[in-house]
Amino acid sequence: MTKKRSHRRRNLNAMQKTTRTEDAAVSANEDRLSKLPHDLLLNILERVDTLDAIRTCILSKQMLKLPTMLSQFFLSCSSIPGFQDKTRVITPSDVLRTNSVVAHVTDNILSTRSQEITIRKLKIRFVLRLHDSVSIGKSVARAMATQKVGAAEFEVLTEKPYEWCSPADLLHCAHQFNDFVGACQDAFAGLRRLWLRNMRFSELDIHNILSTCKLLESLRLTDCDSGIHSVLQVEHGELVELEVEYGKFESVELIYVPKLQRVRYKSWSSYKNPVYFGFVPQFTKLSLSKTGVCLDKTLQLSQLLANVPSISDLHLNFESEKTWVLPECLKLLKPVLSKLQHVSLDHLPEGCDLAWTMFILEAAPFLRELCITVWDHWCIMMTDKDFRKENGYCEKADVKWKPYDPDFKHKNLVKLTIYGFQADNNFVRYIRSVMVHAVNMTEISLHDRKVCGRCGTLGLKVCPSNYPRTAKKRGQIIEMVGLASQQQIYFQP
Amino acid sequence: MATREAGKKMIMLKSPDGMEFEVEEAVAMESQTIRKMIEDDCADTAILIPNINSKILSRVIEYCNKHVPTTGATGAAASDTVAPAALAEDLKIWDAEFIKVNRATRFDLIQAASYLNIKGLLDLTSQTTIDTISDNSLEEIRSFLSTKNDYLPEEEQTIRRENQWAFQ
Repeated sequence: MTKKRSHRRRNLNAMQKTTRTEDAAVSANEDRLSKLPHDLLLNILERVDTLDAIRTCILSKQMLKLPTMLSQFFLSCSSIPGFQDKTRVITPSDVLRTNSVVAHVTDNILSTRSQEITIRKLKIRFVLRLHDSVSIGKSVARAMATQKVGAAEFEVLTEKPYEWCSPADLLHCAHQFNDFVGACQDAFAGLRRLWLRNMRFSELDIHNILSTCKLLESLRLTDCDSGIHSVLQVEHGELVELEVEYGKFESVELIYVPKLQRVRYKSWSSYKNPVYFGFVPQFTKLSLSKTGVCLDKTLQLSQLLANVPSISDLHLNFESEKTWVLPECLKLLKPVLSKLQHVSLDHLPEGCDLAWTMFILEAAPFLRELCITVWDHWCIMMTDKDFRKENGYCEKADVKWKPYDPDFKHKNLVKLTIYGFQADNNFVRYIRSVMVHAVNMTEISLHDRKVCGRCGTLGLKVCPSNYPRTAKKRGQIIEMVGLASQQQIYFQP
Repeated sequence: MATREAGKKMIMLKSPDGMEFEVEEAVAMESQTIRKMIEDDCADTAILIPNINSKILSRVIEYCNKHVPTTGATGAAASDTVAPAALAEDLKIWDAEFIKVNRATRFDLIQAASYLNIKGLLDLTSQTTIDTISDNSLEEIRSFLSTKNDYLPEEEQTIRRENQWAFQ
């Protein structure tokens, strides 16, 4: 008790002090923010998370009512003052305490806000603790029943991060989540976006969740599955976007998802095709990302995309390791890549021949933009030799490929972007060969290696970049490539 | 201030303190408010911009000048030409420099951006304001925003008791 009181007094003192210095500094402009019109204040306040917005408004009588007029909410259990301050240690109990605050404030603000103002966005990030979760679910369900609620989103965290979760913990989290859904069916029935982490469901759970979330447009599963080698079958009338990261699914089967447009899958653990496309007539964008080892299946796009000739955007990230896609021949690929417009090949290992990527040009006549990132990204790579050997990592190797027709012309490619460009023959030869085929190309954009802040702090030795920095060196590259009149090279370090 | 260039239509903007700014029509039309006036033919010779003094108006024009989409001239290959992506990056850096102003000027810019309906400038000024909030203690937030505590001591005690979470 004494401790609490002294803490409070210290706080007040600090405040008096800042107020005094403040008075001296800005006497003329005092209280400018509160004098801004309401709509401008709300525009500012909707850019911070809602707890911070309330913390700000609580300071002044005039502003106290503002949070009730917000139309966008982001309530987060990570909204702890000083969260980004590296010197401050955030303990799990800080997060759990804020979690209860989120539950309390969600209830409070949704029941006291002015109901004429539509809720455009309501995003809540919280830890799965039954008491708090059910309280949040009930508040949201009440708001959905009485007010206009646009996009409602739950991001569900678990008490332990994945690294600390035993298989039993994963089962327990899934069990808790099922109870939560069971207790708050109305809230889930109106939910538009859902992000789950660290849950191992039983066979029918995800199916049941999807049928409860009738309006769901976006589902993201991180470290979730229904057991090792399980199959995720998706049938949903509204789902537009699906993201799966890690987890032990054998495959994701998109059986009947008529509105699905985008799929992102990172690090599947299957030796088959990671995704099966069923009835997905609106599908346009696929993003796959994986650190492949020798044993991993090399994907054949002609098989993988057989049912989705509508695809227009393809992003493949090889995470600086094995190139797990097969450069197939034109005849097999053309039927599935006929609508393709944008392709991005990310994290290709450095020093390897790029010629194989031309198979996409050959098979995708309507391709407009090709973006290639060459990068040995050390902080995501396994560098320990023994570990690499034991786990079957591959040595660097060129991907073998032979052109189908050495004289083919591509009419639609207008832009080639390369990240990690180096002034060497490998790149120059590649650019020349793209230019020879892509007769209507206008823009070639060459960037230096991407920079990753984390790599820098690890103090890893990276060999110095050979990116052309001087006008003279750039001139040489342009000369070596040999531009036509309508073409331009842009250098962007 | 803009100078007259051949073939470009110019517009006169007047601030209430009597200053006149001659700007290209395209630059002025970065403001949706002015665009509407021009499109509705309410802007023959000069447009009076009420409530925005010359100091702030000149900054706003500076912003619009920088942000007006340029109709890029395509020439021969050159190593120092700038691609659109780099242009966006350059604009970001320019914005960051532009908004290094004191709080009073920033609030004036917010109001000007709102009145003139310039979304980019409103986003920039509002975002900068909140960037000063995040990561600060309650007292720091108060001082940053110059929000005055207008509670009586008893009232403050009640508000602190009822919203204890916000003061932790």
